[in-house]
Amino acid sequence: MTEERIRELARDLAPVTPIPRLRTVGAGLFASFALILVADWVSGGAEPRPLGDAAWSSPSFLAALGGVALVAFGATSAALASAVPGRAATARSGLRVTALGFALALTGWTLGAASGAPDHGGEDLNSILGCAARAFTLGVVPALLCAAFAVYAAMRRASLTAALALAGGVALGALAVHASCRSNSPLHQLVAHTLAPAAAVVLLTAPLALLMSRWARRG
Amino acid sequence: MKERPQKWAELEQTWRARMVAAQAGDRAAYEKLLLELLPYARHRAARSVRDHSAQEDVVQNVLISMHRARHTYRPERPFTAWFHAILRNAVIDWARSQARRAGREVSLDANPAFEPSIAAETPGGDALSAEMTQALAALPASQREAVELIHIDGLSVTDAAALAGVSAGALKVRAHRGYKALRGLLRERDTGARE
Repeated sequence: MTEERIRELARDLAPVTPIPRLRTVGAGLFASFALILVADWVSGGAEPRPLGDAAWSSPSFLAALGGVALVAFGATSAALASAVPGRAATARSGLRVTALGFALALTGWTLGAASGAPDHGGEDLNSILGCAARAFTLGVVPALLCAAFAVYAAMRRASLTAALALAGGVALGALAVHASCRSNSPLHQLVAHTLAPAAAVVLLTAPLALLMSRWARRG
Repeated sequence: MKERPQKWAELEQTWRARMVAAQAGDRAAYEKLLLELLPYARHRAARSVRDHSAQEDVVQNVLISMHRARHTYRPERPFTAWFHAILRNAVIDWARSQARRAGREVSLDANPAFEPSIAAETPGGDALSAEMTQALAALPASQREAVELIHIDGLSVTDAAALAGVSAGALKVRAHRGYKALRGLLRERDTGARE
């Protein structure tokens, strides 16, 4: 019975192209994000803070920036690796880096709040929503690319992969927003920048997982 | 036992070459590969699934999963680690589908037909005690995998690390933590039984 199934599988065998290396996929994803950033700046989007800006020497600002960068790298790596059999160790490492990133970003906020950083505005709801929406907009394409690769490879749990892809993609967007936003308010930086990936996970995981499941069924 | 790592290395080379040929569309190589993997899949299914009639279903699921995911194998990666992951996922999927079919939420550990990666016998032929199998099932997945690969499957640390996709040092740490946790669990059971 099983031997007969093996013969059927061999009979139906079609040549396939192996998936690209994970690091190639990751590099492609970050390159696509870089293109989006350039297009955003060219079309009048906010530019990064000038090099002489005091924020670049602020430990709280840098900790939040590093933390969000780690979340972007870790969650994206975990999403990609979780869809490839035999790469569970890479996925686990990605999850650890993501957790570390969140912890670092929250430490940045704690440092900022404790040091009583001067308030330069940005604590109103409009500013917070504006920055969070910008992080979503900039990060949606990398998140969708990540999700598409997972479906093309061998995705197992759509909701987990969708959550990781969203966290990674929107963290990339939040990274750009954090580097360009002029607000020095720790509260603004926490809610609109650091927590933007978490908000995306909460709000968008279910629809993205549904979309991915549909892609997988069609594929 | 000492011949086993050598045999593994040879099998790895052969299976890797056949898989690469299969990806290029070589049907004969693919059929050979699947037939060679069949006893291995059956052995692993027998160790994870008690119900004999279900074992063959699991094996067929493994073969179908492997067929669908064959494009995810990269020639520079170890074939056995890739296959091992598909095998383990197929067993877990089967256990989940059984739990769903039963119409109630049953944790994998509580499913009587499923014991995740618990060996029915050790390489030396000694059956594991029920207490040991339960204690193994209670370990975190990464520690359980390390203990199983080294002490139940009898692999060398290098082979086990390649299979688990981690460095030899990391695997040793996991195995050490696993033994420590196992000792604690068995001691707790022992104390509980005496009371």
